[in-house]
Amino acid sequence: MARKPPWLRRLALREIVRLFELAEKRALSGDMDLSNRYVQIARKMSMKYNVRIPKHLKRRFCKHCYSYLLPGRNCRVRVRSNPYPRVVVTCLSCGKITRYPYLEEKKNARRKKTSRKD
Amino acid sequence: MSARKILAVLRSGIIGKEVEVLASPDPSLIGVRGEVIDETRKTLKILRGSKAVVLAKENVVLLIDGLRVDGKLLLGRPEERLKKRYKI
Repeated sequence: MARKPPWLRRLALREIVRLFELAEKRALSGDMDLSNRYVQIARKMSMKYNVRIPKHLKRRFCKHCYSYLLPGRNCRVRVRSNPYPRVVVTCLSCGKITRYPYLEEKKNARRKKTSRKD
Repeated sequence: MSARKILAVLRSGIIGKEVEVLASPDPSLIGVRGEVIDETRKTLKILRGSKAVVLAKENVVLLIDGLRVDGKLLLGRPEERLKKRYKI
């Protein structure tokens, strides 16, 4: 299908961001079912209008079961460094894990350090 | 009427907004006020106190952001309504 017009995609993106804000609010007040519902709507919107969910929001829900993740409540976040640095998020709703590598960030930090010495 | 403003309301999603029922065939629903917590193609679920009330979009008139909006304009799933065209 043809790419959707830019104004529509902008609208969809704004709505997705708004839905995530609401989902956070609901999760904090303890209503996880509604949060999950908002994630579901946001995902449908992103698929329908060909809009990417921004990276920081994409990490707010489980990649496997799409439930909204609230650290300390329904997910476990751990930082592991061997054999490669990554953040490991365990979804406590479905039990699956998602890894977010941060090798690049680490390399960049190292580069900065050495260049400062010179 | 302020069609432009109504369009702005319709374009941004309705979930999370505070609404009040102005007209409905069911007299017990008139004056009900609350936050929209969910919606389907033909209904809205609003929170009144701690209880959810389900409204049929087809036959209510709502007050949203201080504007009178016919529920008929809200028909359609939330993820599909963005691109809908309206006659006001």
